[in-house]
Amino acid sequence: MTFIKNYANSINITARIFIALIGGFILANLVAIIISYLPADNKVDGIVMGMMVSFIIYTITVLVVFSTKTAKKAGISVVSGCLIAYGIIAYLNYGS
Amino acid sequence: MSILIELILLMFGFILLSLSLSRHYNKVHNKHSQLSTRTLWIFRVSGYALLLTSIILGINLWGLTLGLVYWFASAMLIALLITLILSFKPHWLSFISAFKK
Amino acid sequence: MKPRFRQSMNWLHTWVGFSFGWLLYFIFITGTTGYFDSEIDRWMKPEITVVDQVINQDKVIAAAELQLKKLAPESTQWYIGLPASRTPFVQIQWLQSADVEKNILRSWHKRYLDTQTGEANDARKTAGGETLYRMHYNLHYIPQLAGYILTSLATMLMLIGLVTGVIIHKKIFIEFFTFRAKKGIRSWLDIHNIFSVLPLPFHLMITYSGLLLLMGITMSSVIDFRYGEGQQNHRKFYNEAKLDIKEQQYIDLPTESFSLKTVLNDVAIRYKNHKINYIGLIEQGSKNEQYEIWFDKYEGIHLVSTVKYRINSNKVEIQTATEKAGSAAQIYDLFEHLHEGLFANIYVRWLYFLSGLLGAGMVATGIILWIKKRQINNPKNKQLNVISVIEHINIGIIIGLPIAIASYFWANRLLPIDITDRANWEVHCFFIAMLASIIFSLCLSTRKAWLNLLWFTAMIYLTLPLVNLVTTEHNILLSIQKSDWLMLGFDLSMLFFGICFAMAAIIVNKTKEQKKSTPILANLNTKKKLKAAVH
Repeated sequence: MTFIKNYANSINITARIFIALIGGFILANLVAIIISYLPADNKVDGIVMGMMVSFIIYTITVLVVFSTKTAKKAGISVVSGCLIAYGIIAYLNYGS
Repeated sequence: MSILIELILLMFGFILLSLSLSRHYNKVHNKHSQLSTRTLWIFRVSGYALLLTSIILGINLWGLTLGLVYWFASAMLIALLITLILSFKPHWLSFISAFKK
Repeated sequence: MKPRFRQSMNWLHTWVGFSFGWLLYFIFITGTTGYFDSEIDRWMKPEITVVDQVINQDKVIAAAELQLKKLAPESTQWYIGLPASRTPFVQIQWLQSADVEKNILRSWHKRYLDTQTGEANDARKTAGGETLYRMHYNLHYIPQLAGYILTSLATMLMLIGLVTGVIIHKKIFIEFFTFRAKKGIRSWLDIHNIFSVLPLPFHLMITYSGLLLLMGITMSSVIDFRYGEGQQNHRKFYNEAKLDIKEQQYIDLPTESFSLKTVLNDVAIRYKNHKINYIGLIEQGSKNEQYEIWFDKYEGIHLVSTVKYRINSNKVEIQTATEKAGSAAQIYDLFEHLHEGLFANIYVRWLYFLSGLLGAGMVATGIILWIKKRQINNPKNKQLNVISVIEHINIGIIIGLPIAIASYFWANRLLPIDITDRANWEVHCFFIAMLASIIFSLCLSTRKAWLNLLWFTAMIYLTLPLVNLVTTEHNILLSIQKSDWLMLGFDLSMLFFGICFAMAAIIVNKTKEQKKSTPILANLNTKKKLKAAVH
């Protein structure tokens, strides 16, 4: 118990770094895939657009992860974002 | 040589904007008072007007993309020069008070 | 994470900036040299004979064709380069296809044409300005993919650093022109703000476009999912993504007389105001015979389209491209061309260079701020702490990198012409010099390290034109005489940078000596002596 108490800050920071870097990367890729479905006629151009916007998503995600009150909140936000994105992709994939 | 006109517009625009701040105005004129609201607004409006003119001029001369590239690059150069002048030789800018009349 | 949003962003800004600071400094400096890569290339190949304007274009092209026929009869792609503003010489290039039996890789070869004698000469084997610039995304000594990923990661953190920097800088407009000298950390903060805010549009552009340029590798999972995995699928994707809207027109040139001469005649009439930069002779003698004409002309920030002549359905056809087919691809093009700055004239090019240096300064002053803030509570005379080590390494890297670049140029002049792997040895000298600077910095007090390294840098830059004079037939006066503007510009720039470093040394000299700080490595010895004395 005291271990967690003493290292609470480090665990907090490490968790956030993990969530931001890896979770953010996954979320950015998923959102990029969603964006690639946007142009109905030109799939390739949509992929290019998705990849270009992904960096903005990544940046915003990192900012959000480091501004939430607790690391748990950050983790929940990112994971739920990924799940929603995954759901949208599954729906779009089945449609097309 | 149209870049020179651009640079001159930018220079006066940034000088006016920088002098609209009491901290810089006081350094240039060796005073310790607050700027009057009238002076402040004249400086700010004319400063922004000159900057806007330089943007429009740039876009007219060189097209949208190239004009904006020239503008941002030149603005950075002029702002750097003015920062150096304000930091090391602020009295060089005291000629602005001549226009106050 | 912290009680207020701004504090969290402050924390994030500090650590995002510090974690990859040294790599970002390296990327900024080497990338910035890339804006003058052609000019550096010319200086590093002093054997090239410079020619401002080709007087008799037909004669030169004929001589070039002769040399290409002699040196590369089997090659399917020949290129003849005519003088342009940043490449004032005639060059020939050819493609050597891969030959598995003879163990030859696919590669391009280049020779420089002496317009007086018609001979094709090779310059010394050098890494050139090109390698120096390519290091800013390939890095060195590691696989190319690793370089791409590290660079991209650093750039991503840079973008986060920029955005958080803007968020936390409350007084961004009020402090726009502010520099308060001689106020310790406050002054360093002012400088860091000036280096960041004034070129902010450039920093945002260069960082974001840098990410875009590597997105094919870093975000490749998007392509994998929607298009297909594997190299073949990816190549299909790129070919389709890069598709531009082509325009074709048939001209009434009889197909029997389809040759370079007739093509150039047509170009002279049809594209009167365009200066030809490259002529491509593709697959000559086959039915796919094509001629590519590249122009030295920009429309805004985009290069004017290449013109391709070929025979199609029994008529001679000209093909040009207008713009990319996809709108996202057009935006990508915009960012790519802004990043590379190939369109820039000499004025904008120097401003690109200045912006890059300011970016490097932003990173460097940021690291210095990080160090100084952590030294507030730990006075310097505490032996051998981590912050002190970081401070010394920092000095070694900040000044070591300019020293490394100068050493690279010195190596180009001093290394024997015919040693094996000469180009790689020039780069080895670069990194050896940097390592030496770091070790040197670790052996001295911080103030002595700054002063000595700055004076050393000033010396090696100021004497570089001298090295040029001694080891080649070029010198400043001769360059003026021969109108060799690139060589002259380089020599004069080296003198200018030398003077700048000397001025920096003088400024550092004038600052008051801080509390005694002991060198790092000396501490190791005293610790050992103490231990020995006790036992």
